[in-house]
Amino acid sequence: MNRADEAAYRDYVTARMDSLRRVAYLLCRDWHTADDLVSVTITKLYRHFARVKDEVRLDGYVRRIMLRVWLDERRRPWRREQPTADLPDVEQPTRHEVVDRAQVLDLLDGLPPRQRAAVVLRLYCDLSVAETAEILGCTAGTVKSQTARGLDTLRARALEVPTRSTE
Amino acid sequence: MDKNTFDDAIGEPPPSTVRVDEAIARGRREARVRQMATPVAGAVAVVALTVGAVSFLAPDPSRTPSATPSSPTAIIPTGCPPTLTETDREATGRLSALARELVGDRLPDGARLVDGEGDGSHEPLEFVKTQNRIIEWVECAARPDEPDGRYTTGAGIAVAGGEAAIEFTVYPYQGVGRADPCGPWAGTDPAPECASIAGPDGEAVHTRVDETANASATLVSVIKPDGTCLEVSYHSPDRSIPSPLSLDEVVEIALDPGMTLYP
Repeated sequence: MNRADEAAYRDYVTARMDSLRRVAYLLCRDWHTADDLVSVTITKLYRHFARVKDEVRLDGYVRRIMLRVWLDERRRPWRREQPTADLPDVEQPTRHEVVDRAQVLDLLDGLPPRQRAAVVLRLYCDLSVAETAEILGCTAGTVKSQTARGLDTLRARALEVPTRSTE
Repeated sequence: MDKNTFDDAIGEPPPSTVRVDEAIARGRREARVRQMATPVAGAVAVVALTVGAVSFLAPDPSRTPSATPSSPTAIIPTGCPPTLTETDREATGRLSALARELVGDRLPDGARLVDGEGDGSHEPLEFVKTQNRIIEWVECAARPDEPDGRYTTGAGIAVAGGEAAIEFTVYPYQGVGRADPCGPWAGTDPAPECASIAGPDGEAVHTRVDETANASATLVSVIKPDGTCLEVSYHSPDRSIPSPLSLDEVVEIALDPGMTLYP
């Protein structure tokens, strides 16, 4: 990579650092792991930056790297999630429960990885269904169903969590 | 539930531990390695240098301790590595001074160390701590959440007519995985020269030399009985320039007793 590209890489990464760390934290729920995830992501980005630097969807490219790194990491044996029973059918709640900050993250943490990724990309990164599908490498229909299931699960679990207001 | 909900939940992030300079240094290292081989073999080499080095050196769990065919016998530690007793500052300071001495003593007249890690922010052979709990290295399966980082450094070696490069990586040996020593590089053309020997104090030493028409690269990996894993890679982009370090000298540097995480 030449000096100009490296300077552009440094500027890009520095400007996006806060955003990348926040997305990584929503995925990992641990700041140390999130920073490691960002480190690996930007190292991989360096490898291809000269080729992709002018891409309009560079942010999406970087998120895709991060998602893949994170999903790969989740597949490691010691991080593998234990299968759970099928989720119960829960009626759509008709009122909004008030959950505190930590509970929001706890609820998100309880989602399966791809559902969590879909929710984070759609709701936090504000990406379209098509953009999310591209990053996750799946169809738009899968993104819709993953997001809907994720949100349904969040709502259902929010009902089960004792809220501050009721304590 | 929207972006603000999540931002409120995240709160104020702690100070970042992400080091852009170190990402750039790693990227440069990988780029240099890729220059060494054909495009296909290059991709294999990158994976091998970043992931395979640990796994190919690890013992067969059914044979502990394992040994190389040569004598004396290599003693490969098993289980999780001991806890480090030095602070990062102490370790990097000690390793930096020793690396400069070991390399400097072996350089021919006229050769000098230039360009450290990062964008000129580190001195030649100034070790830095890098965090890489995930992805790059096999972790200790029994202790997956311990932040076992590694210490790395590098420098250019300026000689008349060109520049070579030397890099060090030191990390706790994690004791898992095993593979054929040259397996990760299968398919490289021309084939690398690989050798496995036992050091005088029971170190397991593996060497690999790749040579193309123009360039050469040497990787020396050492597992020490105390639990230190050390890699020294040496890259010369132009074979028409006399190499400032020989393979034997790189092995000597790697086997120095001071090159350890457990002094």
